[in-house]
Amino acid sequence: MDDDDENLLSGPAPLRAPLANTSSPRDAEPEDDIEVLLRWQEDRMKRRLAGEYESAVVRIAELVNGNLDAPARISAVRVLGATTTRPGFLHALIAPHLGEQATFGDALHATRGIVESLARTDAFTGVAPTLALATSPLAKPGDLDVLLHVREHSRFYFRTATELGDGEGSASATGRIRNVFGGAETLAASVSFGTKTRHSFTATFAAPIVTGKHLNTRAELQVYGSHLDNESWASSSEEIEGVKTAIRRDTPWGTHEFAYELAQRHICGLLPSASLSMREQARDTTKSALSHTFVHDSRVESSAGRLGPYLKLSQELAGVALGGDAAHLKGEAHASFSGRFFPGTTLSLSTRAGLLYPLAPSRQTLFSDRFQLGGPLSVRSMRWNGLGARDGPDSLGGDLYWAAGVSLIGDIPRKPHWPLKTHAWVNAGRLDGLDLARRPLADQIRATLASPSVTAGVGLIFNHGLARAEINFGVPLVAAKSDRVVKGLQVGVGLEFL
Amino acid sequence: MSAKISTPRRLAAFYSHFPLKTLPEVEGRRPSAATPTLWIQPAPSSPLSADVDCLAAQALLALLGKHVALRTDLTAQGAVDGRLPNLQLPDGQLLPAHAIANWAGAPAEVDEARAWVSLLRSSIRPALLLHAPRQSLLDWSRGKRDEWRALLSPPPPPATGLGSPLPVFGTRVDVEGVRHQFAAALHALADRLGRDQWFLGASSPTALDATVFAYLHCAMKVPELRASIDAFPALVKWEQHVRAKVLDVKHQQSGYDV
Repeated sequence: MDDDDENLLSGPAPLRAPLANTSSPRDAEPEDDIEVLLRWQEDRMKRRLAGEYESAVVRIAELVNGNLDAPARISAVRVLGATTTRPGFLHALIAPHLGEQATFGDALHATRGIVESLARTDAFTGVAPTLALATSPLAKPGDLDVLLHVREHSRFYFRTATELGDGEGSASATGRIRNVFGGAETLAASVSFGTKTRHSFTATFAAPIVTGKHLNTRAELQVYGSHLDNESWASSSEEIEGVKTAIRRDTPWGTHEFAYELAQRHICGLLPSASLSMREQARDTTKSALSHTFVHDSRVESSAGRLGPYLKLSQELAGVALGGDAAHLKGEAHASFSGRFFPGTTLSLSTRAGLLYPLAPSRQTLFSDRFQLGGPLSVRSMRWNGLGARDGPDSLGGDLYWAAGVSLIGDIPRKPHWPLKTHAWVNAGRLDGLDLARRPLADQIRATLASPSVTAGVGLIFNHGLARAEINFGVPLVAAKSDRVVKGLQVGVGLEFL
Repeated sequence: MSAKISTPRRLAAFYSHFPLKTLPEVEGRRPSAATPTLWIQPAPSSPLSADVDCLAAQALLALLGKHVALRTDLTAQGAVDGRLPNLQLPDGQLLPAHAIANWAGAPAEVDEARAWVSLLRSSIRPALLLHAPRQSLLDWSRGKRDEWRALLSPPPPPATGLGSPLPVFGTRVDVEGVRHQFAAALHALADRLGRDQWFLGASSPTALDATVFAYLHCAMKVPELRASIDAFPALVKWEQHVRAKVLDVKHQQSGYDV
């Protein structure tokens, strides 16, 4: 044994003078400036804490991984802090996860499932689980108690806002009550006033439906009303009041919504210049309809906008045995894909199509149900709802449409981080009415596909979160005589563009 | 004074090249009528309208020998000035209610005729409104109250008063007063008609005859008012005579041309 070892093993450490330098050369402790020394000591403390934290995490991970097969069982789950949530609702959420457990790994897996279910209710801002040894006198060795410390969302919420939607701006007030009956229900009401939607209100009651482990189904009941200003393209206004009930289910492929809607529509407020076609449509009509909508949206936000695929399919059956004035079968599809093309550019492809098949004996569809096409958010370089059949100043809408768009979006040179991007685009589309008495449906579809209006142009895009603003310079390449074209500059603000 | 920014010439020249190809107009179903078509409110199981103003126009055109088609599938919301009847002409014009008599070439109204129309409006129309079928709770709200206020002078008070915590709604109508005025108007009409074929001793039907017929016909559809009219056999006979003339004119239901 050498002298150093003997020194280490023998007796207490030797006394040193006060303020003696105890640092080792490896620390590289600064000697001169007190401020630099203080900063060095702070950094060393942080490094030591981070190191200790990482060591603790590694030790816990080793401990857990080494005991995953140890016998354990959850004997009790206690939720602390859920003062307004019903115990029955919590039981319905937690019980499906407490199946057969034999090991510590099973218990951890069950705990994670419970935390995810509670988080999905959106009733809690935080769920912090803790595992502890069971305290019940009936507990067996190895039993565990799961303690869930939850923090509930504030119950009442009120907000006023100004918003930009699809081609319009609005001011709104929204009130919301969470956990209305203690089962993560939400009651929300909002009122808004806007440029195109003059005023509207909605009141929505939504509640989760607990089916097994996965809380991915919600039911919703909505009452709504709105007053739409259509004077610029249909010489009229439209008032809609209705009630809608829906069940929404999330699946790995997307979200399904099954809904029933009953709505009363009034075409009113005709301008003196309104056409005979719009005067024919000015009446009260009701729509009683079942619908299904599927949405797959895996787009991610980036500086170039939202990248990735998007698919929306919807079908609606109105009238027939459901009653109401509207009788039709309506189908619509939206699909888009955006992705990096080559460095600094993004290629965006988008297509939409729809068919409104009349089921009424008259083989006619109602104005309120028809499609409209054209404008800065769909086929650019066309006026708002500028495609399709017209009668004087009024756009009559159509029963069959398709539209497609290709956009190349590029960074401003030397400013790739800017939300402002360059934009080149080509759009095409066609909107037609159906005349099933004269021609078969297949022939009409072929004719609609074969004769689109085509526009092209360049411009600038400003991305701001979900919304986007565009200013484009475009021209129509191919247009029907009845199309209302825009040659030159056009501005668009909205959420979804072609 | 407005400043108009004109497109620069070079830009206008560039725009003039577009569109490069022009397609035919998109076909749409636009209503047109080969013959003049009268838009009226329908009546259940009757070719004569259930609305006084619409029936007056229908009767006037029939009595003057104007052959028009009828459309009963349209509402007042789509009419000019929000009021039926309207007359759709083959050239696409849509005439409001007050222009129909002029188009039909009806003789200009004399002052006495205007006075009689005013009497009918203030004495017979309230009785029709009193017995009009209740449509919905909205009858108690602004819509119906405005009708009473327009017809009666002075306007009737609301159903709620100063002492009521409820907001103002409804109308308190003097029912007996309305019935009394209705009977007095019938009496005056019967006296003025006398043994004449047309009102005011005219040799041919005028707009006043069409209006009186419309009011009488609609009142006779109401059992409570029919009893009052039956007390004046001359009026009943006159109404039957005019109705036969109006129904005698062949009305064709119009389909619309695309």
